[in-house]
Amino acid sequence: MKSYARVLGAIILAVFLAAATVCAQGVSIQSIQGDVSIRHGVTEQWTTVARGDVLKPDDTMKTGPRGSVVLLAATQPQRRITLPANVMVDVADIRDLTPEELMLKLTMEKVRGSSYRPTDDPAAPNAAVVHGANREQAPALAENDPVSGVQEWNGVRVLFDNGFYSTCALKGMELFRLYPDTHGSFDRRFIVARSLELARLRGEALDEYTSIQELAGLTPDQRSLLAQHINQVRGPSK
Amino acid sequence: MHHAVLTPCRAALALGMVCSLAYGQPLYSPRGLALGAYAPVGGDIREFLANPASLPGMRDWDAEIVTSLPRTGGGFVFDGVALGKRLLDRHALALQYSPGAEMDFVLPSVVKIRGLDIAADRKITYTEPFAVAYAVSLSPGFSAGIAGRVRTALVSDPQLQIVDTTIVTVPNEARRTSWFLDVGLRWRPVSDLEFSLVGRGIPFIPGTHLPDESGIYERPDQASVEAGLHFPVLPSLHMAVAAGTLGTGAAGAEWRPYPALALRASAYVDKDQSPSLMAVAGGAGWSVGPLDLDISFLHFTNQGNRGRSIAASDLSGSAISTVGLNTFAADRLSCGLRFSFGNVHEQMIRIVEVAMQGEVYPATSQTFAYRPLGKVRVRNVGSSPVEAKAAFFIDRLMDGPTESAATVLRPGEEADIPLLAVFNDNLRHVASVSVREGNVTVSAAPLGEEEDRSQTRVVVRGRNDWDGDAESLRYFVRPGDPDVLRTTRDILLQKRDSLAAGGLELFSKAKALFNAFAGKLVYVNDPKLSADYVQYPDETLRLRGGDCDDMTVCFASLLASIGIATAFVDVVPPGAPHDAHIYLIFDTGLDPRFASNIAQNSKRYVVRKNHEGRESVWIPVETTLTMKGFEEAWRAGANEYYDDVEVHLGMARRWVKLVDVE
Repeated sequence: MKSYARVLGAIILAVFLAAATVCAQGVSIQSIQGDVSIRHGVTEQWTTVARGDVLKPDDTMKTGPRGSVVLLAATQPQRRITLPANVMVDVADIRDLTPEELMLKLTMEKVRGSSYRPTDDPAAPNAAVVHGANREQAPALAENDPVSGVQEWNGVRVLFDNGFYSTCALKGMELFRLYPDTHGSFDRRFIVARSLELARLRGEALDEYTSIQELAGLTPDQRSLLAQHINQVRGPSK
Repeated sequence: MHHAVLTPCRAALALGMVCSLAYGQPLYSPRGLALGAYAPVGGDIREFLANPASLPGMRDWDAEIVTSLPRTGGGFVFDGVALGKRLLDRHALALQYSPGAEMDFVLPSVVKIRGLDIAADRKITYTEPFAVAYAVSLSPGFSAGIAGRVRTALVSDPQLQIVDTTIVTVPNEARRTSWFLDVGLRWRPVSDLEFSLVGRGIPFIPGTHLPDESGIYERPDQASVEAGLHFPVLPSLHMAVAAGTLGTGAAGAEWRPYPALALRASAYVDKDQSPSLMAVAGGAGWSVGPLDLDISFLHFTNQGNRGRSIAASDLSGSAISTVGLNTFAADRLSCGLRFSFGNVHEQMIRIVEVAMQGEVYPATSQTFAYRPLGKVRVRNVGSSPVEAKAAFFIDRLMDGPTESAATVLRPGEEADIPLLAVFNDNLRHVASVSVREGNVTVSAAPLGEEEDRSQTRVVVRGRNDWDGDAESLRYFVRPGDPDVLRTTRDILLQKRDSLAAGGLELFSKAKALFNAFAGKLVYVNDPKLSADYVQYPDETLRLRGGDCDDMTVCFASLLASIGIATAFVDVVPPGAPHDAHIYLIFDTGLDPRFASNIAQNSKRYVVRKNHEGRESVWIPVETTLTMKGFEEAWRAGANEYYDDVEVHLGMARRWVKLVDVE
């Protein structure tokens, strides 16, 4: 009886996971041109690919300065995605998330790091000061490779252009953390805000549009564009 | 000797001499007078004849003395005294002596013989001098009582006789002494709601009836039934209503603006009176310690013939079936003093039930100082609000009982009080599961005397048992364990020349620790096929192996001992709880902008906030693969994390949980 339960559980899990990954698993290479490489899972090595290869959800694809590739995503409906030159995209991002899934992901981003203080023992004393914790000076380390950053942002653009707004927004937010300098870019901030809007998270989109207004050096056209989208997200006034 | 009898003509008027209108229960005490419908209220010696079932509410000894000032004049009258005693916790006895419970009527004789001072007035006296009652509490909300009352009617009608040419008065008295019973019930089905049902005036020992010529003065032996209800309108405002089969009823309210002060008002109705709203009353009560002082004023709406002469033909025993509230009664001011004394402890709180909320796991025992391990449901069985406290104790595993915070309970109210426990170190030596006796006691402030106690069974697990919750696994992490400290210091000392400094220092140290154990630790299942057995880090180091949760706890302890924050990645796949798994991520402290110094592939790390609220780079490691070295454990951990969290959205879908280890 117990073994039946385990088998049933495994079947449920398999169906569940299959349903969750159907989009990402269904990505194949339709055509390829120039310098195109792929990285499997968490490895560091880039390898070449060929036409007809089926990509795994944990793969990352990259095109060189003169490379391009056309992917076929088995989404509903099937979508053909062209990666132009100088683009890096995670295959797992070539999929549609529901607004609820996107909302949960964003919520998890916000609550990360907020679980330190246990809620079950409010009276327990907690040390607020830790002596000697940061005695080391900031390291003289190199920042993340900006070339990779450009490729990844180009990948974000590809996601946006192909309607993968949820993963576009999430990836954009991740890149802001890895490449903080890009946070001051109107175009990149706008694409994230627009993705949130098109993913039907109007509140988050409004917050992002409002935040972009505080960027220095915005042109009148940019301000006008922001105002237009803010009004659009807010909806007609009653 | 020649005897001749003169029959005097009676006057057309009768003079009512009302010494006390307390005659004829149930309206004797000023509290009862002011509240009207007293039968469902009660609770002590006061007005116990309104409903003898209220007697078990007494604390121990209870006494009351009552005086009144009738509007007819004549100063204060001593109405009587009552004395009650609780017996064997559930039983109660009471006696009442009421010499002032008397009503006199005089019918003057019109025969006057000039020059002779001979009185031949007819006098009718009603008294109710004694009463005795017994009651028993059948359950916390239900009691029954019975009372016996003596009622007398004395008709004194002196005869004038001529004896040998001399006119003399010859005493001529007729008396009826009878016993009547009152039987009462009192029921409190829920907090603050009380019902009463009292059968009154049930003939018990009827006694000899008055002669026919005086029969008109007999009060009828008429039994009745009265039902009452007592309920709160507001926490400080209570109401009571009662109605009887004789067409009488009353409604009253008691408001306590302060706990020691009560203000009361009531109205009485009688369908045979005109107007039907026969009387109104008001009063106040003041409580201090064992003393209660009550005053009341009763006013009849139709003054009629009250307190003055009435037509002799109007005087009839049947007109005073309820003597205290009859046609002839007069307004009056009453004053009563109640004194409660004795040494018997009155139980104020009773345990209804004790419920434990699971088992005690030694590893998480410290949380029970703040998080309840059970609850006790208590009830205020007293007559006044109390502050209830509960204490919990397990012999040998605790140094003393752990008290909870006080909970205020109103009379009749129930509440759950959480049970907390501060365990001593003995708990950490409990090798395997055992059942212990937990002692629960409840006390009432401010005295703090134990009110009730109960025992419950507590399942205490072995020191290595784990309830399967990743939150609880934190408590197995022991960064301060001497073995852990010694191990990490030794390793770092050996590797000090190869450790990176600055921003990569923590990453470098963690890597060194993991690699130091490569090939030295081995993954083994729990001693039994159970997922709820966890080794403490010193045990894993000593045994050189363990399963995933043992390894995770061990490395979390090692990393924490050198100041590296960690978090458990708890994976419980939907529909497959038996495939649950746990591994570790640790904080490198590195700003994400420098992440490429650790890995070019962003899937190899996680960017999340640390305990300072700053985003940093965290590294997932599959601790079961530590024996293969850090790189392999990192690769596997990163793969799992990316697959579970990013590809399958496990965290958003709540089957992957991150639990930070402080």
